[in-house]
Amino acid sequence: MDVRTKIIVCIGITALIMLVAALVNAWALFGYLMALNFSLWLALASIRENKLGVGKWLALASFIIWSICLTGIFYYWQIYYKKVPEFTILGMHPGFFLLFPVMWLLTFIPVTLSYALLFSRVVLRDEDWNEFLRKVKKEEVKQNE
Amino acid sequence: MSDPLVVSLVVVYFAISFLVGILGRRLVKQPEHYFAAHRLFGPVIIGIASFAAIMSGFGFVGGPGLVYSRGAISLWITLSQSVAFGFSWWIIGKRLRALAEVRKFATLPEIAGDRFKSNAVRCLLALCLILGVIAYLGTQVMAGGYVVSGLLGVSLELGIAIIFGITMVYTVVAGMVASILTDVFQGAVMLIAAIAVLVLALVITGGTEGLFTPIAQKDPTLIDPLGVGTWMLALMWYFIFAIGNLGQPHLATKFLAVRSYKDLKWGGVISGGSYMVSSLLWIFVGYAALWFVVIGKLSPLAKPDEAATAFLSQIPSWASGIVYAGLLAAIMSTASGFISIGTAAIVRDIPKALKREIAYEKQIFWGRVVTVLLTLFALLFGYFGGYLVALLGALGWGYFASALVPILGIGLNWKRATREAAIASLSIALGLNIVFLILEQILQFRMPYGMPSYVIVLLLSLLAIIFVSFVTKSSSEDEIDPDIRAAMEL
Repeated sequence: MDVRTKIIVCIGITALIMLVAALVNAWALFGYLMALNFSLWLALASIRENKLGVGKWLALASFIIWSICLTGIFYYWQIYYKKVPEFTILGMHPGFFLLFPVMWLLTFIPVTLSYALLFSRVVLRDEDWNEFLRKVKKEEVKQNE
Repeated sequence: MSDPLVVSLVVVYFAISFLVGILGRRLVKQPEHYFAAHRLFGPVIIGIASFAAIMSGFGFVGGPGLVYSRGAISLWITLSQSVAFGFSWWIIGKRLRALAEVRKFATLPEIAGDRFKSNAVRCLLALCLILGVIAYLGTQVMAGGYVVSGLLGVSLELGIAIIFGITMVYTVVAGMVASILTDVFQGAVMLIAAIAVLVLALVITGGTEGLFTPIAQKDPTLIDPLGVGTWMLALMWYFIFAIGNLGQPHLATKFLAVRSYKDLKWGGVISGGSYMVSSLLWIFVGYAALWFVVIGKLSPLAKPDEAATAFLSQIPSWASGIVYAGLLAAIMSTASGFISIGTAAIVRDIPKALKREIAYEKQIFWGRVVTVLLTLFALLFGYFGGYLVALLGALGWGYFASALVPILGIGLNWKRATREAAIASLSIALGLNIVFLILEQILQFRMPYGMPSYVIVLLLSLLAIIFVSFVTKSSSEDEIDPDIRAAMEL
């Protein structure tokens, strides 16, 4: 089984467990599985030549950020449930502050900003694009013959 | 009728939108330009147009309304977009752009049909899109009409005619090119509106401390990270709005419009960053409206959706004019994208699936005819459809996500995905969404724990395309056409 297929299977398995977690209202488990599922999608998208490469670090970083933020959000929500929090950050409930702006901004880095930063080295190198065009051209010639 | 300054700003906005759209005609040289703006635009235009297409009128009215009535729970929708655009660019951006390089693809059903070598896939996906497009446009008719009628002091019917007439005319003239170019102008208007709202909301309320403290004293639930709702709902919203972004047809089609593969580089950051700025409007309009009520400057609102207008009544008229223009921009940018996608599905996909392809040189003509007919049908449906409009209106983001995330996200990244699996996945998405629509909207069935049914459908359709592929073989691996395979291996 190649790396791509392994990751696809993992995406399928996490989706299956997420479904079961949803049906039994295991919401915290659903949250962490969602973070894992997102990381797997990121890993899948960054595979090059059947290797994970930098994709595994991106996936790991994003999983850690989501997991820590979700844990903090769940924790502060629980201890200040229906109460005015003992402390606030810029006037915000600490759990709210972790959701906005912390998780909102931090996850942007490995998922969205990383695409631009890694574009020329990982996402789509010029030589890969040229090789792709060459392959397509070769197939066209073969078909015309 | 509103303040003359507000009316002037709105009229200027309409005039510029119309002109920008009409000017797009010069770029339309072939049917692929008309239906998909095939390889015409750079990263800034694609980035801003993608954000504008995704930010609909809901973000300006429904989102703040939800914040007003239920606190932070709806923020899980809008905050997911900081990663959603990144996912779309990573997972399908490169593949769709590469496919646009090798074939003159103009629609998603064309791509899916050729990838899986199946007319059934093409036809099913086209039907999914047409149904979703009509449902979306139907719900926007009355909403758009009421906004224009209230602003300009005209009848509802004239309000509908103005907003959709302008949208229809520029879409008829230049198709997706007009849609994308107007999206850029409309996106810029939305960004200015969001920044203006953020500054005003913070100045008026005394910063985040001044904003949140009185709300917390009244009801601490409204400022906690969950708000009023269940965790399952909040997390499921975050999940489907993050990963489901790549399954929105009006976004995915934009990748076919990218001029050069190098232009992919900054598009995700531009669109994600722009959406993040516009999220501030969703958050701060909702909380500021709540603040005005809590401190007694406004009486409690009869309906949560009045939060946006209540907030606008408290700010200077020049600012509310910009925000109203932003709201119209949000409605029109999403509507024009959907009209183009529906038109393309009717003109290119359905006839091809039925083996009655329209002659290439006549496609733009028929595109224009269908744009008029589709818009008129949606207007009549929206105006006279009553209950049916509300019923089909539930087919939104989740419906598109459950149909397209497996087909594009898995189908273009995994050569082992098979035709049977794609058909199974699409059938589940279409069938179960309609079943849940009947159960929830007609039979008043409620999912337990506040779960949105469309997330369950997405998970099932994902499972179908993955696991059915392991027990079937057709159109996978070596059967894929070499050029499509090369794009998938890139």
